[in-house]
Amino acid sequence: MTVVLWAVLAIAVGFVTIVVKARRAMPPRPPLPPDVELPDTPLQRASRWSLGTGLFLAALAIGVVAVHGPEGMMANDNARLLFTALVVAVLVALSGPGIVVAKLRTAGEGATIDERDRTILDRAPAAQGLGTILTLAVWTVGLMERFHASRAVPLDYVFLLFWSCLVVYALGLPVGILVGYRRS
Amino acid sequence: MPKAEIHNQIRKLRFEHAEMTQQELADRVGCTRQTIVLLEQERYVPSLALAMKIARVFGKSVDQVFELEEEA
Repeated sequence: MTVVLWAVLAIAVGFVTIVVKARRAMPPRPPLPPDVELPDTPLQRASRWSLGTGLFLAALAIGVVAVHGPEGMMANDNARLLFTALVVAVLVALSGPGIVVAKLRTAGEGATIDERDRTILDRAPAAQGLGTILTLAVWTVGLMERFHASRAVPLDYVFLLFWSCLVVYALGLPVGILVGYRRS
Repeated sequence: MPKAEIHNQIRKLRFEHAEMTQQELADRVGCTRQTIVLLEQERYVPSLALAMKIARVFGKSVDQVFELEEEA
């Protein structure tokens, strides 16, 4: 169970880092009058959908680890395949088919993205690197403390470390976009 | 360097042009309605290209739609 908590902590640290760094990357916008409602853009809707779906699937993947434990999961082919399929689904959801589609559509009649969206998209990945590094750091500290006596980390944990870093990296894009819309 | 603010007449011009909706203007200049709302609230400064497209929709020059106000 400890490893599940550690995985959640590592992902949470990465997530918080991404939010904080993304906020700092965008200058704050003066608040709108209370009677003015800001409609969502297609890119914003796609990002929100991506993030919600991605987080839901990530929770399911963590649930699989919690039920079987890292060693049990690696020993059980079905559990391992289910975990891998869920993490791949997380990555697909977070990379956002909607974002890609929106990005590919050019400005013009019925445009889905405009110059402001492009600025937000350009700045959104700013926090991905730092978030991933800090997730890696949290894992490294945890694994070092847990296994320093045996001087060897089981492959099961390396598997989790890799996937969680990848998930945090993928989280960076939709989070960066959503923070960008709130700030700019 | 003096602080500069850009004001605009977009909201007024929309109503003068057969009460054009924000969505209609957004479609004609190729941007989202959110950008039009932020422009009207003067929370977003457009690129020169977008400013020119907006001015063209209203049949005005850019400086008839956008005004630069400099504070000393």
